[in-house]
Amino acid sequence: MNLNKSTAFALETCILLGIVITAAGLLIAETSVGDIVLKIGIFVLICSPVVSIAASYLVLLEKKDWRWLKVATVLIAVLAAGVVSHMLH
Amino acid sequence: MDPIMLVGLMAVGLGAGILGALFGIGGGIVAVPLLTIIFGLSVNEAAAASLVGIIATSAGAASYYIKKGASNIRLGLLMEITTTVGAIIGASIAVYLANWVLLCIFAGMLVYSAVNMMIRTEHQHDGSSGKKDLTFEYTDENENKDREYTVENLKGGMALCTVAGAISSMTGVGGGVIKVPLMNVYMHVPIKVASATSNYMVGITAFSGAIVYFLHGDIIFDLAGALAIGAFLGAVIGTRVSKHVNAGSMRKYFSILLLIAAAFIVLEAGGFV
Repeated sequence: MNLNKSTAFALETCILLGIVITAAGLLIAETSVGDIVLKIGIFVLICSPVVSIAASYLVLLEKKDWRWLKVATVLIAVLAAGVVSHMLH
Repeated sequence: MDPIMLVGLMAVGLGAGILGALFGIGGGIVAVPLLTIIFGLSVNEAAAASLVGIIATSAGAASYYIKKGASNIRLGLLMEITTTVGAIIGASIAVYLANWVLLCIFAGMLVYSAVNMMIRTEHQHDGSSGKKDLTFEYTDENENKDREYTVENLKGGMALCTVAGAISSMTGVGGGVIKVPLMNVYMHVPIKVASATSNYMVGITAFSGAIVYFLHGDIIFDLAGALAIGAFLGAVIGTRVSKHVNAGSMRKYFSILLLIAAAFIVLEAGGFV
């Protein structure tokens, strides 16, 4: 697996999925399911960067690139701490 | 939603997306003032929608730049650690510092970066550093040439990224405007790689804020959705435009952008916007 190709693929797939669901949600906003579709679309969109980190992580793991795998692990831990810290504030 | 408002929001997103994708700044610095002034959103509502727009810009642009090898994922992951740590520290100490002082410091940093980018030429890699693990390659699409570069001053750059993350979270101004000159001037990363890597990083930074707004139910979904669609389209356009801009012009335009951002920040510090 190639780090750049895999990360780009994950990011592109997730953002496109998020945009399509969001657009569908906006189009059917007046219906009973419009809100939930829109909410799912925004959620998928927000998660795109994390999905790309997960893809990079898997590639680095497969390549046994321990140095950069440690970096990715620390980043995931720091991001989790950041979310918790934001929630507390 | 009113169709005029929908189109207006998409247009704001489009503009922010083009600028964000071209320069790696996310676009929040453009979107937030417009959302509050034109659309009458509260700062909190505008910030929440803007974060979703920043992620759409970042993901749309970074997926293209990563595929082309312009975004340096490893450098982005590394620098994002200290940026996020800085943002956590900043959020904790923000209550003890006057916002206008921070904004003025931030504006000063932007002016300093802009002047540096204007008067200094871009560092050219001569292959003499010997740091193989920090030497990377990218293709300059404008010149259609493969170029090598070595990341210098990594520790200092990471430390400064902590400061950028802290000031960014304390003032609410995105960190891209600091990270790009930091990588370019101080760490000798070519401007095109610096802006492409920043595009990748700003999405990760925005995630931790956006997910909290989402979980708290603070996002107005139709507004954020319209903005995000415009921002994504803007990012697609911005990445295509960047192919036709050479590195020298990009540094010049970025310096001008920094000076405009600094002027807006000073106005904000004075309570005018």
